[in-house]
Amino acid sequence: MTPVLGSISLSLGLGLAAISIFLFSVFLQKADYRFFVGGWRAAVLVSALSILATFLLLNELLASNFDIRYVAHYTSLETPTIYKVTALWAGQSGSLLFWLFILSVYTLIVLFKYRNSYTALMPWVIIVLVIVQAFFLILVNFVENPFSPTVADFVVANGNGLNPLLQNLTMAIHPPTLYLGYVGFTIPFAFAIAALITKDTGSVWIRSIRRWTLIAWLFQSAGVILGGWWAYQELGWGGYWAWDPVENASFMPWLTGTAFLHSIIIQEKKGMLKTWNMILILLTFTLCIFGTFLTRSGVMSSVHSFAVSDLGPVFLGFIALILVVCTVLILVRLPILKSEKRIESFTSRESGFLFNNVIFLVICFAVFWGTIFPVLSEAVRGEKITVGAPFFNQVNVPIGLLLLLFTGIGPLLAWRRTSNQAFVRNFTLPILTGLIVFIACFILGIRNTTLVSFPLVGFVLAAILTEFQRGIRSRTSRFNESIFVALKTLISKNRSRYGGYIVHLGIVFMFIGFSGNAFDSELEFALKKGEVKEFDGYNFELVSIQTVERPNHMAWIAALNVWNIQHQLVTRLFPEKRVYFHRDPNPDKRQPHSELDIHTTLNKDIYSIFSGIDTEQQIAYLKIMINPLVWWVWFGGYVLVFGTLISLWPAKD
Amino acid sequence: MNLVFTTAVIALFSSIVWYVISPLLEGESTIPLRINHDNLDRKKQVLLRQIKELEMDHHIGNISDEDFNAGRQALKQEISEIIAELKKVS
Repeated sequence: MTPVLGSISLSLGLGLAAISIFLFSVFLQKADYRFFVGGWRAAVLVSALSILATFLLLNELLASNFDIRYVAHYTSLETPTIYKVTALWAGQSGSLLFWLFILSVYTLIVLFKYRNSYTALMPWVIIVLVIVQAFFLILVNFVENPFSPTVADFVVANGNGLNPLLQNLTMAIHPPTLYLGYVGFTIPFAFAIAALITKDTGSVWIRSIRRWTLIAWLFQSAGVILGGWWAYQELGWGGYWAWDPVENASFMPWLTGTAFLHSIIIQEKKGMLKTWNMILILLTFTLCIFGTFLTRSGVMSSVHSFAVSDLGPVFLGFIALILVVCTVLILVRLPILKSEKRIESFTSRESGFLFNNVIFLVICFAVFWGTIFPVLSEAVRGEKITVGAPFFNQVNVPIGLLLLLFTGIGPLLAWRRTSNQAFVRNFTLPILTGLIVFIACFILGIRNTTLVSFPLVGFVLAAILTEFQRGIRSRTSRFNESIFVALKTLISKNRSRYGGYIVHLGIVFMFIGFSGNAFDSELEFALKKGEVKEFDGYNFELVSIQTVERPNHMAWIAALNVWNIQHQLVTRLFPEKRVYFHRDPNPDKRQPHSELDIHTTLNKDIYSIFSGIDTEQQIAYLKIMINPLVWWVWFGGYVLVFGTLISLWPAKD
Repeated sequence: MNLVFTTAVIALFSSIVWYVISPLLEGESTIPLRINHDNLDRKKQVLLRQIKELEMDHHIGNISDEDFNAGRQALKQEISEIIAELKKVS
């Protein structure tokens, strides 16, 4: 009964989406408010029914109703409850429904938040949101229905179970977070389209979507970082970013979204970059759909891609439609998108923002090119040429360092033009700091990219602190406040700006972590119980190998004592070698998996992988990696989230 | 059981149809004035906040006196227009 109700909800949702669009069209022609209310109500129901369908599927997953193909495919009786929930976004149709679910929640918030604030934009905003919902409703109704019955001529007593790589707690948070980001950009996109159609391209729509963009950006950032965290914890290659197509797919909208967040400040304050802003947000949304397409279509082979399907042409058609409509709209509205002012000086904050935008776009293009190159090469030459991490690193590391430099320069520049006096006053301390760090690194014998990145980190840190110091000094002189009170008031009264600086601080910390890559080292070796192996200043002793049987897997746990050269115990590590679905009579269905263990400190991680076992001779095949400064990547992520939350926190009126 | 289910689905469908079409039969055809008032008030708050940010930028030396005066004047003008509109709506 429940699957039928789920299918009915999705069908009704699609029908109501069409009715909502029709009623809004009548309203726009007749200006009769009753049609607006009718359309609004239909839009509410589209979202409510989509949410209902999602909860119905979740209920079936928890109840292990293997009569539904999706449930049988992604769960089993042994699957722990938490992973039955996460199975909702593990497969094709479930994740599409999940996309729709998040969009529906966002749409409901928009519908109720702006219920009493009608503007000319709102009918178009709702129409765009409902059209995007309708696209996903078409997919889940006709292409990938999550409620499709299991096709089998026998009673399905148990399901396949969830991919072991997805049985990780980070995977319970990472995809929803990333989806909240991807889907969240639909709201600013809808406002942008509405602004273009209604010719209201001033700063009203920018003000309306600033918070929405920040929310989407926050989730996108957190999702990208969590993806890196999951890869680091689960995939066992010792890194967190491999320029994998699916990673790139989440990174591209983040880049354009970040550029957009910066350039809307220029439009708000100076009435400039209107066309640029339109292009950026339309591009960001298109890249979000493209990201979903890459993850879901199976067109790219990826460690993050858990689905293969024939959704490709449908998604590509939708992307083409978005691009055509947006391009035509921008071209038609070009005359009213002209800037009210021009950039007057190279040393102005406006030009700083513009440079930063250009850098974001260049990185985005390089990532896009490298990501689609295998598909293009296969289409043109019939041979799939994969572009690996060396290409991305070679192109993006120097540009990324340039971006870091502009993160420091931008806030130090004044609006319109920076006088020579202000230039000297603002730049002296950051430049001196950068120079001191450079000399220190040089004396310490550092000769790789960190010889550039560490001084830049010093420069940007000093630049951010200078900004705080100027703000505090302004308050202490005007209001006679103590330094602590001035700092607190400065942030609480200028949340957007100082929250932004804290985000920059987070980025700087992340760059410290990225720089650590240059010092990575690793060793693979075999150890018998009681044996010791020396590597990179540590001694690794295999104490025992324990066998444990858990509900959905068999595990061999290696107990490793790690000693330093002074023979002091640093830590005990317990990497595991697992075999999932070990009770399955078909050996082909059993899946080996290495669950690693990491000892983390501020300056380095000791990363242990149990890659194989000889059960007869009790030999463990291990891989140890020493990864310096990785902690700073995650710490930077926390600071970034904290700064964004400060920016988002509503100010008192 | 099937009859109960079918009846429930029909009831759900009828409620949905009624919920959507009822405003067309009995609602107001003009946009309520209260909505315009709230919208204008929100715009005013945003502009007031922009003036505060401008003052902050000016005091820490990120904006020249000339730009500050011109910017503040333009924002004040916009706020005056909104206040005039608010008076009309009230």
